[in-house]
Amino acid sequence: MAQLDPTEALAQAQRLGARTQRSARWLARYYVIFGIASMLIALGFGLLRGRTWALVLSGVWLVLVLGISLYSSRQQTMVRGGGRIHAGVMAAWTVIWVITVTVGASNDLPWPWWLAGGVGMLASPLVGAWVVLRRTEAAQ
Amino acid sequence: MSIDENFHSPVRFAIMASLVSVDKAEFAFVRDAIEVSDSVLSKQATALEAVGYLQIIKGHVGRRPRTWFALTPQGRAAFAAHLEALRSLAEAAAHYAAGPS
Repeated sequence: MAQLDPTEALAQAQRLGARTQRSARWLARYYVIFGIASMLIALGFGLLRGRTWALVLSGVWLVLVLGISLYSSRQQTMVRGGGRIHAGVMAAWTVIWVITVTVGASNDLPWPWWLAGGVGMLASPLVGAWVVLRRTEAAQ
Repeated sequence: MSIDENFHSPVRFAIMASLVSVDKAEFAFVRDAIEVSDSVLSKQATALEAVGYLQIIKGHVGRRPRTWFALTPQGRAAFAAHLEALRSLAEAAAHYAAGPS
């Protein structure tokens, strides 16, 4: 690797930075998959009643969580502030999940709680995906 | 703004450029991005670690050992100042090449 002049060095820095940022966008994909999956599971719990469906949906959720955990463990980069973004997204998602499960499952509500909960569980990962995309598109 | 002699090595410069936009990146990713051998990357990363610009993090995913690189705040500041100095040099060179106005 030969010494570069300033213009070439800046261009190389731009290229390498852009490549790394593209790689770090995996976290946005992770959040989109996680958000959509959790919304579908919430809808499933609302629409499909009975112990059998509960077991099936729990199994599907477990497989999904294991799958995206495996996907994340194979990634080679982490976006700037990725730890804080993830902590915020998962904290918000957990609060919405707990509210959905406790309020929805323990009360016979006249409105579709599972739909509201599902949209809420989709929203926090989508916000996380948006933050990741913004951070990986910023100029160096 | 000043040129940092720690980045005179093109490999060290490329390592910093690869890492500046992320929290951390894996050894294999940086190696492939800057197209150097394992031993060259290892040697230059250790040099950057010695001046406090880079943190080398060793861990495991399952049974597989993995090495990650992360820039220190000092390294980020030094590289940002270096890029700024390069921009000034590039602008000066472009101005000089354009001739007297």
